[in-house]
Amino acid sequence: MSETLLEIQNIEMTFGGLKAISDFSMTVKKGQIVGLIGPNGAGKTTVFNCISRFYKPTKGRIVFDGQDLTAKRTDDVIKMGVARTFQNVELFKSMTVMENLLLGQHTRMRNTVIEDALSLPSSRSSDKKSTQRALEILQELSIKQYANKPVAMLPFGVQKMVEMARALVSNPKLILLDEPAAGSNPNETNKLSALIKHIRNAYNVTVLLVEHDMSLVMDICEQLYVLDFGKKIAEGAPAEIQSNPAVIEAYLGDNEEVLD
Amino acid sequence: MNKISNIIYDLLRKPYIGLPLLGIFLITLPVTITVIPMFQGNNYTYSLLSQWVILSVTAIGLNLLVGLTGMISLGHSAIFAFGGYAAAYLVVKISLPYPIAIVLAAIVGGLIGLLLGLPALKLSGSYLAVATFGFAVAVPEFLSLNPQFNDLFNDPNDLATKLGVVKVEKQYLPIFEFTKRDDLSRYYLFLIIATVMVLLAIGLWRSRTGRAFRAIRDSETAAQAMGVHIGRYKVLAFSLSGIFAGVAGAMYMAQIGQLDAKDLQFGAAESILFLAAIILGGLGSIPGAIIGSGLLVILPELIKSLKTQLREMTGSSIENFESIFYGLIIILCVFYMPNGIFGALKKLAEWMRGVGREPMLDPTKENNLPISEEVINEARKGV
Repeated sequence: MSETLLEIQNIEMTFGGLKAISDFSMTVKKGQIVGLIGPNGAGKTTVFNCISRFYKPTKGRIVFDGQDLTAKRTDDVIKMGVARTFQNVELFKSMTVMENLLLGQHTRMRNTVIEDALSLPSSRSSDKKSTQRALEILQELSIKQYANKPVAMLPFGVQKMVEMARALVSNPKLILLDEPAAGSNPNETNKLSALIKHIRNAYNVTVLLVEHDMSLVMDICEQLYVLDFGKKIAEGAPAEIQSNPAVIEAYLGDNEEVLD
Repeated sequence: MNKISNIIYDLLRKPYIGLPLLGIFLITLPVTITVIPMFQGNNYTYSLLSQWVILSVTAIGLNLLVGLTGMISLGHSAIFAFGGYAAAYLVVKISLPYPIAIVLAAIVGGLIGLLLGLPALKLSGSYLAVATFGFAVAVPEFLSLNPQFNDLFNDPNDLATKLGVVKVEKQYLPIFEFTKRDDLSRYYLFLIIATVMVLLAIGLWRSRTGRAFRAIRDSETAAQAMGVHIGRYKVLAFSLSGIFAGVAGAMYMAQIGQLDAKDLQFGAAESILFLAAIILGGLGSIPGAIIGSGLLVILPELIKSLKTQLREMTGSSIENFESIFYGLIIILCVFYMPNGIFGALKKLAEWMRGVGREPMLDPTKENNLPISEEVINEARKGV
């Protein structure tokens, strides 16, 4: 359990003159649920975008499972075993839930364009196998009944679940969840935290999440990293973070400043 | 009533029922079309049908690019021209059998398509449209000015050669002796070629490859996150699309028996006609491309006969009547059928069946986050 899966080493990310992240390091161990929190604009999603290689960190290295992630292309990241969801849900809107999940298995499917064009049995059987696997995941997340619905027709909450299913179906080692509880009511958030724990156990996957909802974070995370203005201001177990003065200041502002 | 609508709905939704029926329809078409008053069972009618088949093949290929992958090309007339030239060269100069020439023209089309797709790595939208259009403008000039291309086929001192016309007719290939004067057999030959292309298209459409194309259209961000190599698939889409245009060009060569770089069919404006065919028929759908192509071929004929009748009735004729009417119908179609004719037909069938009225799921209900009780209980136990 204590083996390191993801190690971010002193990354820095600048956009023009703006430093979005500076000298940020973190370690995620296999099987953990780790949270990345901080006020709006702290750079949490930027860290996610660096891990999934939508951005290339201007400095530093990201090592995943012994390999240098910073040297990889964006579309290689999922092959290495890192899948993600997006803050504003990036599903393929013209497609059904099932088609979205088949795309989640794009890199697992080995059939070539020639096999596809000729409709060879290998192409059809690869689709069939992937459909089967997708159905299992949908069943597990209790959204099987939506399998053939176009995703654009589904409510936001279900869309978020579909996105999580799409990430899971690629059989990742690490799953990055960007604000999974956004737009959920307290009851739904409760269910969600149960689900994330269940996913971790059932699929043997490590979870790194960005979240604003403190009840969810405090409930499920074993380790927390707090970002403010692109800098790490604290790390530790949820209980420690809750009483950390620097964190309270970042979230609520400096008392004295208010009084002045 | 309801039964009929069910049948129509099935025909439109399930390609394996609809396509064989379409096949029967196409095979009997040279006969059945004579039911329409202005069409007789003559060579002119058959050559119109061949034109339809040729345009359909190009349009299907273009739909793979524009409808499925969400990129635009106004350069397909150039690929079409290259396909025609390649087939003519192979048949006339190297005396290859036509079927082999078609395959090689497909490869040429694929390579030119790949070349045309390279700008797509950097450009998109209107910029890509302009870049590819530049290609379409330049290629016919290149083909007509380059003496190598013309001397390949004809006597360099021939007047036609000097004008840039390449006559393939003179040395028609053996396999074509029987189709040379016979537009009907040529139609059937084209139908066979087109069937192969349609089957390939269906394979691409419904597989991993087609899904990757649609993923790029829907969201490049998500597609990348799913491991789709955007650049590779964009160029692949252009190349596959080029294969269809190349084959269509080779068919066109056999249809007219001569190649003229100044031929309007190779002109840049033809690219816009290809685009019109898929927008009218339905973006992203194979039947849509075929329907749209049919409309564009048949519409001018209908208007022509309408004009003749009008002249007989009123005694006066309106100049440029065709173009005005043609343009008007296209505008109305696009305006009232944003998903093309095929999209409209599908919607109609769904409406007749009542499935279009399925309510949206209620977003205020709590089961929006459908997590089962088992999962929750399991997690509570701390498994």
